[in-house]
Amino acid sequence: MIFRLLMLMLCVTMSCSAVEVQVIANKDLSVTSLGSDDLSDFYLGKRKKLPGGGNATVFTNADQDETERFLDKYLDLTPAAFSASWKRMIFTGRGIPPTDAKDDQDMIDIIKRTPGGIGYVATGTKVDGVMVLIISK
Amino acid sequence: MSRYPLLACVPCLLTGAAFAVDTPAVDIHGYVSQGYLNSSKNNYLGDSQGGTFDFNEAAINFQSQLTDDLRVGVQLYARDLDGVGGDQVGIDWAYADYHYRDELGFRVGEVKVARGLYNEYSDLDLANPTVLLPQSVYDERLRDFLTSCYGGSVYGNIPMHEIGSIDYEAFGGSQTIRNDGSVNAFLASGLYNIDGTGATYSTNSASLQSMYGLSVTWNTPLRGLRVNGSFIQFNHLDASGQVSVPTGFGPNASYPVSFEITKGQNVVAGAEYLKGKLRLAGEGTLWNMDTSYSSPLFGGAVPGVTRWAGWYLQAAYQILPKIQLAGTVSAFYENRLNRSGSNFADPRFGYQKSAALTVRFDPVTWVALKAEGAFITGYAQMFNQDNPNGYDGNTLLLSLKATVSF
Repeated sequence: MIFRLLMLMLCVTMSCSAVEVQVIANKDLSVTSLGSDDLSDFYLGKRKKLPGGGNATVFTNADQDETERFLDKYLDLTPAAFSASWKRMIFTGRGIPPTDAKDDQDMIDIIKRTPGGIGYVATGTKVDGVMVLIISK
Repeated sequence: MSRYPLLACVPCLLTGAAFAVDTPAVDIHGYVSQGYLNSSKNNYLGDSQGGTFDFNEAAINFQSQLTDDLRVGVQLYARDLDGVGGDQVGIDWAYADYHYRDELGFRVGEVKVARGLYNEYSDLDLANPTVLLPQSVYDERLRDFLTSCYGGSVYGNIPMHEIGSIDYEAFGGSQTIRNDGSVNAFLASGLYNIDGTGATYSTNSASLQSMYGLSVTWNTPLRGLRVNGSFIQFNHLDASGQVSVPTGFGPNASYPVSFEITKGQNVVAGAEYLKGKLRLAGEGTLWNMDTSYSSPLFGGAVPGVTRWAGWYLQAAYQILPKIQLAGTVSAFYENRLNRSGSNFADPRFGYQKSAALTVRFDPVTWVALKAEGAFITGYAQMFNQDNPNGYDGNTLLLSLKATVSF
């Protein structure tokens, strides 16, 4: 019995830690894939022009855990380093920080109605009306 | 930071933001920082012996994205450090930014001075792991001179494919030199007690003809590693004032003094590596300035040259989600051609070396608390007017700072 409980707990833990994030984008985006460096540059406010034309508008998720996973996987940054980077931008007038979506559903809704919109949601979330953006290394 | 010329632009910018397009959003952010300095010996960056709270800053900014490519913004800023700034509200930056392409953008107005890796953020406590940026390169005594200039800049990011990308910014313009700012403090230190009887100096007027510069950063293919080089030149920085000499009886005798830097140049080169919780940085800087003092007190003009140099190495690591540790070693040389300081009666006036350890605690994302201990040897960056009784041994400096932002 105890063994089964331990196995169950292990499975739950593995399941929780395995929750990944996927990058989504407005369906009218001029590209279907991005390099990870491009994605990083958009999120850090260094670039805004999409390879196929138009401006990228990026959004962050108010869910701190999800944002931490996104930053770790795609930008190789901690939330603190990401925040510090944007503080630098804000207080030197170099840019306006990404807007927070309240949750995954809100993120999808925002991306749907924002031309050039790019965001992220938990893998497995239904992403009707937006496209999953392929991020290459 | 200029005080008045662009203040008139604030309502124009915000009004423009309100009417240029349908209800544009105005993004508002700000912060307030309060610091504390306490040194075991020698006053540094103020009356630090015995402790001083004369170390604070606050800012509020407004930005609006008028179109996809056009943004305007202004930041009001006040600070005080050893009396410099005096908590007077002025404009830190105020400009229109036209982002034509990622490779080419333009800013017009009062723009930040792009210098080294961190000069543009030197006002911003939140962005830095330490209380004081390494003073060998980011000298607090020069901050109001190096913060911004009114004019414009051209900037961009150029992809280099397999070898990364290049960020560049070229700026040019001028600035208002305050009578009670950095320039005055430097002159007051240089002329302090010049006659051996306690003479003091104050500036009546100061001006700068022009300054311009270029900063280039190579974002290397190794993500997180960037290498920067920057250059600044300024021309005809002039100041005039008077030296007041105690006569021992009646009013002080007053002598006019004029000072000029005909040409000044500064280069900074360095690199930063960010990897997860680790941040490594190192930079070096060189200054060349051709100077001239002129006063009946000296019997005419006294030409001079300034050849400062400095470097630092810094490592910061986030040991816990809300706690970061940073260690910094740095050195500043009054004359890079004589780093031992042997041309001074006391060689310790020829350099200032320090080793510092900082703990930063961010209990929430909008609060940063820092504590820093530094061991300092040498007096090259200390002001004589802050140390009227002379200097003594090495200095332990405790710095604390709390910042709240929104």
